[in-house]
Amino acid sequence: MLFSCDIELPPNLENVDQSPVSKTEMVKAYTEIDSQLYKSFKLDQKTFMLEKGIFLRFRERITCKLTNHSFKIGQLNQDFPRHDLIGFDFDATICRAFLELYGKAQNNTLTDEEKKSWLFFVDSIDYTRFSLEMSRPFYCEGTIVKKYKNSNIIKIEWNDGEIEQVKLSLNKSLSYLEENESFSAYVKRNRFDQTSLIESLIPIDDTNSSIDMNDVPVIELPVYRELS
Amino acid sequence: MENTNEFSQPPLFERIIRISADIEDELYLSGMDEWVEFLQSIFPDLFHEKKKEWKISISNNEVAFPIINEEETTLSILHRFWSSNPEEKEPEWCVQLSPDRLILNMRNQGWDDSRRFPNLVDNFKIVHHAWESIFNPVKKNMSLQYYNILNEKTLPQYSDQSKCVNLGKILAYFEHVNLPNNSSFTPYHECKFDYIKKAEDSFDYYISFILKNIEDSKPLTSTMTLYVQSILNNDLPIEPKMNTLHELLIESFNTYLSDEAIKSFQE
Repeated sequence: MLFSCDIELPPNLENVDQSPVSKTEMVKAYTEIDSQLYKSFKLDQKTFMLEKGIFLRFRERITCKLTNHSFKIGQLNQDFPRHDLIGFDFDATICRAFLELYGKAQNNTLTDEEKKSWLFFVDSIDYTRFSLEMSRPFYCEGTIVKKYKNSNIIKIEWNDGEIEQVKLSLNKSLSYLEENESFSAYVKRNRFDQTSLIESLIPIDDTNSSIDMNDVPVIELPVYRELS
Repeated sequence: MENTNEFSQPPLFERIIRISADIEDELYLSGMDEWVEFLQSIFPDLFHEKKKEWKISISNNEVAFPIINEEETTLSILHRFWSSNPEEKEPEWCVQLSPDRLILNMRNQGWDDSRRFPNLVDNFKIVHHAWESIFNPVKKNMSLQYYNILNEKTLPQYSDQSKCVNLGKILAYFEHVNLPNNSSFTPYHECKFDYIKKAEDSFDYYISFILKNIEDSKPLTSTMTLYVQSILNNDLPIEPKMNTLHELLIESFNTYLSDEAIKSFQE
């Protein structure tokens, strides 16, 4: 017997006095539906994760079309056997299809059929955000300005003078550093210009880093004179 | 705390606690690995099942027949984490997760009812703490559900020769209903009572009692579900809320059960 997890949803208590009697009823089913009854359905999930920090964000829910023997995901140029719907992993299929097409698009090797599928992705997802997340991290130096007790936030001053509060969860090594200690790392920024990734963090010995050229003593070199 | 003198032998199959919430898509997807790692630390034999959940919209056309609205038919995935592989060993715990809810199911083996409400509270506090820190949910409401099984195995003292449970003797509402043999399940194919009660914490509590037959079950089996739900937000501590839900649920049991059933479940 299955674990029970839902009963018919009770009314939202906040709106109990004003909830009108709905003519539409939502039914939940946990067994496989009889797919012969349906010509299409939508995926509830709109965001898919390619890897940590990189997402495919669809603007609308993806519609899946069913035919007698197969089904289609959105405008992807690929048919899946209808009986595969049981246990089908939509996450893996969509992410894999995207990565394959992305790789081919980068190399300009898309076939005409693949171009249609690729256009489906480009038209449906937030491509600007994806491109930003897909960009490689850049080298950066920073200094710990403030550590807070019992908090997962830490204040950093970046070498361009910007002060930012970041979550310790971005890189555990941040918690090992002390206040006023400097570090170098590879960093990514999100669309709000906030740090979204810190990796390869290494503490910097302050005596060797960020050398102020004004402090470097000027050494008078002997003037070279050609012997006549 | 649960009054252990009350209902020491109820036909209780499963206790379920649930929080409805909103989790951001990105946090939900990014936190899944950490979540599985956490659950593996408390359930070493963890079994992860991705359960499809179909939401089907049926419009009641007043003129003709009901119509399935395909535009509204959606498929989502409910992650079920069993404390053991259900095909190898009957699991005692199940954690269910989707972007809109967290559910903890606790089931007892062999009807011994050795795990009780405090066990559910203790484990839910651990699970809830991890869920909060990994997914940063915006909580909306909380519910407690007790799922009872009524058949000749769980209630032999109320079963007759036809192997039917005499619901008229168990439920106060049916005590005075004159039925053939006073025992048949058929008239009680499904019934539901709902009401809203304001509790001492001044919040409204939605209380529901549902009696349902399991079709084609052998022995003939009914389920009796008691369900209590209330608003929950991120500022409200969960433990007092769970205790209030539980008090109201026990009170509700007392309302629906006959005096004879209350007495026999307390023995």
